[in-house]
Amino acid sequence: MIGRIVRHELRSAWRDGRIRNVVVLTLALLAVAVIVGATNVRALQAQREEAAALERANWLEQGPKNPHAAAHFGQYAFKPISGLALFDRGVDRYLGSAVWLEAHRQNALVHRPADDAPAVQRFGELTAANILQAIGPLLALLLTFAAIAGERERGTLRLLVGQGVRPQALVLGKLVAAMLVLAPLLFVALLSAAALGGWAGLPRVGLLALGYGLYLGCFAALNLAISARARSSSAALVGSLALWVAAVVAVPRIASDIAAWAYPTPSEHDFFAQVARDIKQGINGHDPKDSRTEALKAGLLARYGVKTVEELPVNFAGVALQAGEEYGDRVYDRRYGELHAIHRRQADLRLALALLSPRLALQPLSAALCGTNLAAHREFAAAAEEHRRALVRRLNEDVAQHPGASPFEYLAGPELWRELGKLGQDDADPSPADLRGLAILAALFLLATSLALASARRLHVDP
Amino acid sequence: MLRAEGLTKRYGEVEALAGLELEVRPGEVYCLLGPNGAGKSTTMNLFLGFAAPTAGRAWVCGLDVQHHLIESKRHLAYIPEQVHLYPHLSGAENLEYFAGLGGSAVSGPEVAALLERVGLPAAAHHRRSGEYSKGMRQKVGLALAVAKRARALLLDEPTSGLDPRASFEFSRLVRSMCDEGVAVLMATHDLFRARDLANRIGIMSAGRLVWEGGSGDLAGEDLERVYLEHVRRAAEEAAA
Repeated sequence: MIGRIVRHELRSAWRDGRIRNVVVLTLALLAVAVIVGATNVRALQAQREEAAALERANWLEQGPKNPHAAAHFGQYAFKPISGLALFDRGVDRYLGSAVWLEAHRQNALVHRPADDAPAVQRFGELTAANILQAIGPLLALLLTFAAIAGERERGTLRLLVGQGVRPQALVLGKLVAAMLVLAPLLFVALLSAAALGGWAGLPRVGLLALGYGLYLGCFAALNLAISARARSSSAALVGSLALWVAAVVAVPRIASDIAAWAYPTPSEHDFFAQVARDIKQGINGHDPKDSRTEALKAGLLARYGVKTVEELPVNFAGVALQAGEEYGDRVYDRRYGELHAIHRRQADLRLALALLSPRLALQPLSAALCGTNLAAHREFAAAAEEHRRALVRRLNEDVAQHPGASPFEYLAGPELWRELGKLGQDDADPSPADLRGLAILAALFLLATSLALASARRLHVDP
Repeated sequence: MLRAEGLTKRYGEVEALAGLELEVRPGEVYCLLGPNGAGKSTTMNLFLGFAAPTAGRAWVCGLDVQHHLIESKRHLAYIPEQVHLYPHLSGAENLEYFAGLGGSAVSGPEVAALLERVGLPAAAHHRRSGEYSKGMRQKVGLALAVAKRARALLLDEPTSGLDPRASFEFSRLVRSMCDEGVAVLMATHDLFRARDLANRIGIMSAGRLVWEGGSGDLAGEDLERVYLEHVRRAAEEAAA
């Protein structure tokens, strides 16, 4: 019986020119979004690859230099762009794309793509993810708001139930049909994203399809529940529109404000001021008169059983610089750790509020699978920092291995620069925590479907 | 085949149906007459399980409707005052869909034969039903009842608004189903049609069955006079 209802609904949707036109229009919009996304992502990828090559050439051609001076000379590392970023840009546009790697400082990423974007993009970027997240539920609304209320108004519900059709079967058939009408949107958007972004991302595309399918299914089921309860299709339309405004627009916005209020993050200025204050408490490798540097020197002289730094088998300046570096590293690890913990708590709170809006579960899942979430950004930042530390450590070691009367007279050359490779970074794999959204969406879909079936249990056949 | 046992339905303070006792046997047409609000449609709704009785039971082919909401409908066909079809589908497509849902899948030639049997012109079989007249839609409803091979048929004002010829054709088709052993319960305002078609007639007023008689009881009697007299008497008793 459900199969018969599904076939009937699909035929009706096909014959209804309005639905056909809206689906075709949305498909065209998705195709444009994917093509524009692919063009932008490829342009950014090319720009970053070119900049990285230029940066590498600058590093290799810096000429003879003291290794610590080379550490201050520094170099940029550029965040790679995931192939699936063309589908969902996530928070990528609002986070930096390059980091300056230098001695003593763990710099924040700079050059946010949003800063270069035209003002009109502040109203929301045209991405396939945004279209499916915002317009997809509207399409589900169009397909389902009159599904039961309309049958009741037309008088066909009386004939259907009189034929012995179980109201639950009717609702289930209409839900399956709505999802089948919406399926081509997912199919076109995701498959074209996989084709243009690289087929390596296909398993992730499968998870995206599941996530978006459950998301749209939630709206279709909730609209059916409203339609089964509403006295008229116009009342059902008002109810479904209210649901769309709340779940797609209002709740995600309010949830972000609640999360920021519950777990406030320090401003960028305050954060780096705190880091600077902490670092002042440590060893200053550039100041030989610093009391902590003196203590380090005393310990080193005692360890080697000598009386002056000139008698040491290592260059004390290199050792002091590395000690200062390691102290700074501990400060950065602690302060960034605190900041990341706040971000995690904010994300957890937003996810907990997903009961009020499936979009709160889908957004982080989609961005995680497309490698454009905060975790992917942090993973790059962590890899860049690890690279910076290894680079500075190696340069300081090189200073330490060349003792002499004046610590900064020693000059290293291209061989050392070449030895220090460039940062390689693959797409970050989503963590199990990132995939929690999928479980929440599955639970919400089951809940919404149960609600629709419960609403159908005692169905009024007359308006 | 169809039986009401003390069937009662109250909507708050209003008693729409009060202890209805009624039986329709196979091959019999039972017409329910009565003014608007007499309880005819409520009776239909209770047999269809569209509403739950406040007291009493409705039986269809030995099945208590409230306990066998779906199963009881397998034996029942229903034609409302207005057969509402999907306007974007043809009569044939509507028939195919509804019959399939009722458990009697029909297709192609069977559909054509059914529609021909109820007198729907062949040219109209594949036309959008949105363009059909009321009479044509009623015929599709009747074809649906035939396709279902139902043992009981509920008709709620089926000839209201039909022209005399269409009404006559409709009655003829109902009679032919009745001859095949189907039990028919028909609610109507059409006294002429009731007299012509019914084996038994019940007159309802204010939720009560105030008179019941067979076609033999009406020999030489004017049904209109019987109807008006019993309805008036029931109204006077209710007022007293």
